[in-house]
Amino acid sequence: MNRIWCEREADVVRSLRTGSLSAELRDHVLSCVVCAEARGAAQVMLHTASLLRVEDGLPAAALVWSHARARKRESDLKRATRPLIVMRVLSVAYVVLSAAWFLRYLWRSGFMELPAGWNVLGNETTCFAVALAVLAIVIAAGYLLHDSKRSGAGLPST
Amino acid sequence: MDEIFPIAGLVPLAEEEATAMNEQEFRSLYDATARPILAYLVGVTGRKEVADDLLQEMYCRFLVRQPPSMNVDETRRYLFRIATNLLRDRWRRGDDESCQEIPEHGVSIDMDAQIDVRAAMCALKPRERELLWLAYVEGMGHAEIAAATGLRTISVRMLLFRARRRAAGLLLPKREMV
Repeated sequence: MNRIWCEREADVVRSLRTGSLSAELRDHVLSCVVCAEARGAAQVMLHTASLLRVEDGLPAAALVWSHARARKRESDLKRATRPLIVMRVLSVAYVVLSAAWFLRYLWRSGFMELPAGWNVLGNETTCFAVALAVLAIVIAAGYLLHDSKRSGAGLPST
Repeated sequence: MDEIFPIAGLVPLAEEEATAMNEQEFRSLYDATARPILAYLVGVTGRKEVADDLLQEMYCRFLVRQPPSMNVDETRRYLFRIATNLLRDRWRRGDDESCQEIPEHGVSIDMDAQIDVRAAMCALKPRERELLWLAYVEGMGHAEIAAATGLRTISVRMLLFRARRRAAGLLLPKREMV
């Protein structure tokens, strides 16, 4: 089976980068397929790197800094308003669900019998509303906890 | 002793401003890291304007995320990691993977070799260019490359082996004919 690495490879590459390949390393390269390939590949990369003069076109640090600061402010603002958006969505969902439940109850009991069944409606509505409110609070609290953990973690991009 | 860049991590909001990187600290970080990373981005994409955009985006992400305090080497690896992720995001979006123009500012003394080298670079896959650049231009070891790319060390060893073989194979036949 082919060897996929050699312990002298790092030395060979270091020598090529500094431009001083010793006679001993040169002999080793002649007898080692891995290091011979590494030398060929390293020459390609180092030659390409030598053709690039990035100093000429390096963006100014001040420009990158101001751009990054603006992005950070934008990101902080987005992070701060995210819980409000979630709460708004939850409140809309709460109202819609409550209204749907109420309309369903009216449909089933009939409009004419409504006064007679008002107590039942009151009890059930209260229980349902309380359950929904608790659910909404639990979801919101869970989200806020998750968001605060994530925003402090400083994870790199995907 | 390694210089430590003071970067805010898991700190209360009130302390965040005090520990966040200021412009002077950013400038020293930028001076220490921007050139090799821009060269990496130009070398892998083959496009200077794309590399400039990616470089700016990389520092933006770095400052927005504000990782915990790191020494110079860790910061450098972290920046390479962000840069590599940005390259992958770009290719995942379906942006052009080919390297159409390797900027040519330097003076080449060997025109044949230059043509071979440019053709070889363009024939490599983007990931191969990334790994070879980190290994041979930046001089990173397998573990460092793993940290800079998010791959496992054993995967880096295997992928680098394939990339190296391909790069050497692209050059050898032409050189042997001369």
